[in-house]
Amino acid sequence: MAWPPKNADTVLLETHTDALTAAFHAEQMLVWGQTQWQRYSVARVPGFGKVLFLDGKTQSAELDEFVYHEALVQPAMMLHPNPRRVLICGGGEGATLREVLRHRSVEKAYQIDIDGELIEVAKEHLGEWHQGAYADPRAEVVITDARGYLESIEPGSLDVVISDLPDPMEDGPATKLFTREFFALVARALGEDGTFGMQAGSAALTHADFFTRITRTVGDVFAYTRPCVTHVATYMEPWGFLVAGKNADPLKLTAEELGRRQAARGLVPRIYTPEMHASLLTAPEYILEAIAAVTSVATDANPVLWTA
Amino acid sequence: MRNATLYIAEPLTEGVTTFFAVERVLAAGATAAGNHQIIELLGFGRGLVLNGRLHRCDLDRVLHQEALAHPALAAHPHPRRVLLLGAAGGGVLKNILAHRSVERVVVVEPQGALVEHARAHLADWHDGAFDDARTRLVKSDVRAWLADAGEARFDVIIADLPAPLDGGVAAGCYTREAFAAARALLAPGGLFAVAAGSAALTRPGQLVDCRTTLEAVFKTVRIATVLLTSTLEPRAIALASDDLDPATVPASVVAERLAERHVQPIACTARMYSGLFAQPAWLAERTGRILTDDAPFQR
Repeated sequence: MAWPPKNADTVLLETHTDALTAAFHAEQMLVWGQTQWQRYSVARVPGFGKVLFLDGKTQSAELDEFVYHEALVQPAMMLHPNPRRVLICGGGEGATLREVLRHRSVEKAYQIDIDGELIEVAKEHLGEWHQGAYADPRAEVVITDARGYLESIEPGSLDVVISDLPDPMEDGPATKLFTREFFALVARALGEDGTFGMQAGSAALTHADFFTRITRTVGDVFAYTRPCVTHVATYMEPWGFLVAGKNADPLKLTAEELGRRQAARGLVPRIYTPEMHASLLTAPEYILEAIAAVTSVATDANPVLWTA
Repeated sequence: MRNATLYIAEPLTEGVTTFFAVERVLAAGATAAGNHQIIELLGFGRGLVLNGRLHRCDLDRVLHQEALAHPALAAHPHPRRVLLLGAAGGGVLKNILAHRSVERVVVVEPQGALVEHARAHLADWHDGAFDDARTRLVKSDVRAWLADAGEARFDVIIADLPAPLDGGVAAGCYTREAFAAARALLAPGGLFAVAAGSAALTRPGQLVDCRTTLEAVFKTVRIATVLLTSTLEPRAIALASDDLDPATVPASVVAERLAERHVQPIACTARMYSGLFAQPAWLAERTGRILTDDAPFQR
C-alpha cells in the first residue's frame, strides 16, 4: 500500500460523505488564491494533469473535462435544429464556451458569470480548457448575476441556454439559480425551438436527491426534460446532467439524425456520439424511482441546497 | 474524515488514494489462494473485501450482481447449465438461479472459508442460494478446476473473481490460457462473461487488456458498463462468445426471456439494454496487450 504517496509532496483531501475521503496526490501546486466569491487552486496530479479545485472541491481535470463539458453542452446543442444565439450561465474555465463555439452555426455566445476574477485566472492558467474560446469574436463575457441578466433580456431571443453553475450552498450566490422561477426565466428567454442543458449534481446512490429534485423542477417548466447520467472520473461518481426542450424530446432524436446533424455541423464528438446517445439518456432505475418519489419542486421560497 | 479507527486505503490510481471508513470487521480469512474480509462500512453497509479491495457492498451490490448475471443469461435463448467462477457473497448465484430455465450451477471458489462467512454474514445477499438444490459448491483453485473439468459443458460461464491488480493467483484467471480453458467448457451456443474491471478514464488498462485478450480467444466480445457508486468508477462486464452476439438481441427479446423465466430485475431491467453495450470512443479506440500466463496483467 503506497501511503503516503511517493509521487507527491502535497495531498488534497476531499470528503464525499462521512463514508469516504479521497486524497489527490498533488505533485505541484500551480496557482491558488481567493476571489470575492470563492477559493481556488490548480494542482498537477499524476494521471489527471491539471486539476481545478474550487472551495476545496474538485471542479474539473485536464484528463476528463471533455466528458463533463460534452455531456453538459452537446445534448442541448444537438437537440436544437439550428443554434445561433447561445447563453451560458457560469462556466468560468471556458470549456463550456469552447464546446458551444464548436458549432459553426453559432453567431453569438454570451457567458454570464458572477466571478470575473476567476475567469481571468482561467484565461491565464487553464488554456487546456478554453483553448482560446475567450478570444473568439463571437464570444461575449458579461460579469453579472445570471438571474438579473435573464430578467432583462428580450423574451424568445435565445436558441440554447447552458447552466454550468456550482451546486448551491446555503446563502451562496447560486441559490436562486436552481429554482422553478429561474428555470421559467430560462424558458422565457428561449425561442420556440429552445433547448436547455445543465449540470445538475451527483447521481450517486448515496446523494442523488439534489439531482432528482432539480429534474422534477425543470420538468415542471419544460415540455421535455430528460436526465443524462455519466461517470465523471475526477468526481469519482456518476454525475447528473439535464437536457430539456420546449418542443423537442431528446429521447425522440434518433442516433441517425444525431449523426447527420453532427456531420452537417462539422462536429466530431468524443462522448456524445450516435452510439452513446441511448446509453447517456438511459438513466439508472434508482434515478427514475427517486425522480418519481420527489414531492416538491424547488422554488425561491423553498430552494434546494447541496448538502453532501 | 470522521473519527473511524479503521480505514481501507485503496490506491485507486496513481493520482488518488481513497479511504473508506470501516466500523467493524465481521469475518476474515486468509489462504494461499487469497484473503477476504466481511466488514461494516460507515454509510455503505456491509462490504466484501477480496485481496485488499472492496469487491462489493450493500449500497449498490444489486446493480453489480444483476449486471453480471442477467445480460449473460438473457443473451442465451435457454440457459440450463451455468458455471460460476468465484462465489463472492452469493448474490450473483442468487440472480443466476432466478432464471427458471437454469437446472444446475457449479460454483468454483478457491477460498473455502469465504462461503461459510458469506452464509453467516451476508444472508440477504445469497438468500439461501448456496443451499439451492440446483447449486453445487466446489472448493478448488479456478485454473485447476477448469483444466480438470472433463466432459462437463456449460451454456453460460460467469467469472466474478478478485481483480488481477496485484498479480498472483488472481492475475492467472485473466489470461489467454484461462479464457481458452473456459471457452473449451462452453456448449455450442455458449457464452462467457467476466467482470473486467474499471471503465473509468483514469484506469481502463485492465479492461482494455482483458478485452484484447478475449478478442484473441472468442469471435465476438461486447462490453457492458454499469454505473456504480461504491466502486468510485463504472465497472465493465465483458461478454464473449463464438456463436452469440449479446448486442444484437433486441430489448424486447430480453424482456420476453426475463418474463418467461420469471426474472424481475431491480436494476438491470430490459430498459437498461438501450445503449448497454455502447463504448465511448476513447475506450473503443484503445488496444491493449494479450495477457498470458507468462505475462499476466500488471498495473
